[in-house]
Amino acid sequence: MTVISTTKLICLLFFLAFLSACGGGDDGGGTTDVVISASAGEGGSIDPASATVSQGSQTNFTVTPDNGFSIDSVTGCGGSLLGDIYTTGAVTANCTVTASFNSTSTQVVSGLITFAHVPTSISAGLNYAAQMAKPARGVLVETIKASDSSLVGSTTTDATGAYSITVPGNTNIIIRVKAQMLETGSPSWDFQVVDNTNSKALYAMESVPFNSGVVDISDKNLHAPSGWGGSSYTSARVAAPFAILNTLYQALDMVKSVDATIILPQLLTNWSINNVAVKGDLSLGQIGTSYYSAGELYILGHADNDTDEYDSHVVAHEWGHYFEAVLSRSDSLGGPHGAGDKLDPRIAFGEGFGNAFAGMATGDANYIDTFGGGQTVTGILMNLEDNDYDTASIGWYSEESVQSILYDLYDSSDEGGIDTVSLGFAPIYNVLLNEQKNADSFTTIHSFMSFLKANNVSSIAAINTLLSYENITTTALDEWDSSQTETNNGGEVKSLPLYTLLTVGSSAVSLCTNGRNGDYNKLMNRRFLRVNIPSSGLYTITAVPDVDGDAVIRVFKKGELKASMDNVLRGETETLTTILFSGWYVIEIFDYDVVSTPYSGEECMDVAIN
Amino acid sequence: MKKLFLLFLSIGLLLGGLSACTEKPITYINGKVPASHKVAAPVSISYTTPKKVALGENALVTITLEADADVDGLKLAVTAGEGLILPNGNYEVNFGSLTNNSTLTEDVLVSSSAEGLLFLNLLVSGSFSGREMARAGAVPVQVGDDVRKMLKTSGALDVDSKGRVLTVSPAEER
Repeated sequence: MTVISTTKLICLLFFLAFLSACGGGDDGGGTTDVVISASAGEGGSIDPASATVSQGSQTNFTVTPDNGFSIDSVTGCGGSLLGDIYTTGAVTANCTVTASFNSTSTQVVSGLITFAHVPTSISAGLNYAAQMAKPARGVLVETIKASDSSLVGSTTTDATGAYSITVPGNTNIIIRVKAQMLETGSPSWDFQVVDNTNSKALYAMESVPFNSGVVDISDKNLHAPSGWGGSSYTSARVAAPFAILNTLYQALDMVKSVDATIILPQLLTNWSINNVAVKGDLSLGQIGTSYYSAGELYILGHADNDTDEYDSHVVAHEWGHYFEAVLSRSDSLGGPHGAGDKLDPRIAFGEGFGNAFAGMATGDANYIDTFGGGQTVTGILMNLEDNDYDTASIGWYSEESVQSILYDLYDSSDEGGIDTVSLGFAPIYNVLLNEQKNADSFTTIHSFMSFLKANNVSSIAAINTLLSYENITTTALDEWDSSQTETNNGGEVKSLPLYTLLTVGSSAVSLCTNGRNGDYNKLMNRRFLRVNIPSSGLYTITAVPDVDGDAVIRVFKKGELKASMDNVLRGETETLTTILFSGWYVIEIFDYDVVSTPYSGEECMDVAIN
Repeated sequence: MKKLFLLFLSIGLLLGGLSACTEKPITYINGKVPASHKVAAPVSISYTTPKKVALGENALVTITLEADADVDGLKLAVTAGEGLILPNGNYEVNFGSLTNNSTLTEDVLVSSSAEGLLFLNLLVSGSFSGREMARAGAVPVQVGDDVRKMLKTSGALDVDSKGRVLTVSPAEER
């Protein structure tokens, strides 16, 4: 007889109790249930809706498409489809089976996309009473499934605002129109209107969901309303981004008319109803004014203050800056400017081109900008055909002179004795994209006209008539006017020559600046020297100012800033030592106080290079 | 030793002082990306305003206009934006003529009926060498702490199938 000790007996009892505890489970079999859920997309069903099975088991679901649909796919729970039966794998945890269906038919949905256009008036701002539906041309139209927001298809509207797109039949669809003009390949562009105060979100409008049915739909017309309620904006200003795009379409059309394969970089246009005429945080809408900078447009939209979405000349003007910056070359300093200002010739050319281009693109010689409460004030009105307004300020430093000349070169409407030339846009475009882009000098009306005349010899007499009318030299031989034929000094006896020749190793030349015409970007704020570097090497440029002067030196090659120096105390000699390569450079000199503060005094300096 | 220390201290202070003298905000001229503005009347607008006020509290705004050219018939129209109150309502003041580079100021007392960043709308107009021109301006008045409270959106935010953020408004169906 085997004898079990008391200790062993206690251990055995504990072990049996432990095994009993591990047994658990009501089924007494040691297994767990899992739940399999099933879901079906639009166009069919799946049965059962859910199933509860033992862990490690398989089960079947029956998938049934509606009439006009077929099974697209069934996924989940590691299963496979055979006919209309979906068999799961051996499931070990809760999971979901998802069935989707395709329509077996397609329908064509077509219609017109329009937006509310509010015209400007020459005396009373925006004319809401005359607003009309205009086609939204070249904009992106997408169809999305209402059930899951998946993209079904996309197209762009044509020149009449029409679109046509194929969608699956019997499917709930939404038509979404994005404030985007997109073309890939050659030509190409990507213009988007976004909200700078709201995550740079792209503006869009969309239809309510509708069923595509079994027959084509030809009247799915969508319209972007202005939101104007009679005396103020009372609902969403849906039309505004499309109004901006309409102007960009016009600008693009102008350029495409002379270059069908144009390739343009992406352009974001930042517009918001919060965009107001004070400088500050762009994400709060404090953009200051409508402007172009670094590949983006910012457009005002604050009602009762200044809105520009319907001021097509303003939008086209800023697009002109984009065009000049990305395809041609702009040496403009930017900053404030206006008609009648005597400007640095770089900004005079850039702004004059922007104004003229606005007239060309919109087909309207009246440049209008509206302002004020209810947008009822026409605050800027410039007739681009008005060649002889304010004769006191015409010349190479006037954006009005530049815009008048460029517009008259382009247009077919001639004024006797002034405008006898109609070149169209192509010769202007060609100079901008070639000679002007590669000019050794700064981009000014002098450089532009020298190149234009060289390319259009048969029109030189007519071009000279335009120049003469704006009191600009007609006998300049090159981009520098190196023979110093310009005699219009803008009332500043020391403003000429535009470029003073500086020779390496020669004695210093004296140049004077002043702030009598304003600061930063005005005539006489900055002076230019041209220097032909004979051989590459290290050179030292010195500027010796007046006793209280504060000289600044900047060195440019083909408009690109290569070196600058502003490092000494008032009255001391500014010295810039840098490597220069053989060829032409422009040295810009100015006095710090003259360009940065209202300062009407004169500051002179002696400049040399060794 | 003490004299040597004082000598080094003096040299250090002198160099520090020179360095401070030569540190100027040259980015205004050299580093800034040019922004090509739209055409505007040659009048600069600046302002002073309290950094922040409480709801309903009075705030004194001082507007300064500086003529960048001779101007005749210079007018300033002042209107209150949403949430801002002008005790005597919107108004216009005619300053007459102003010569180039001269300035004038206008004090405006405002109150508020809403919190957020509110705006006093300004429209400056005049005759410059015989040409009527205008420019808009605005003065932000911060009421309370939340500067985004009065910001408005044109649509509902959504994300398309490629992850692009959209602001979507309903279209009118015709």
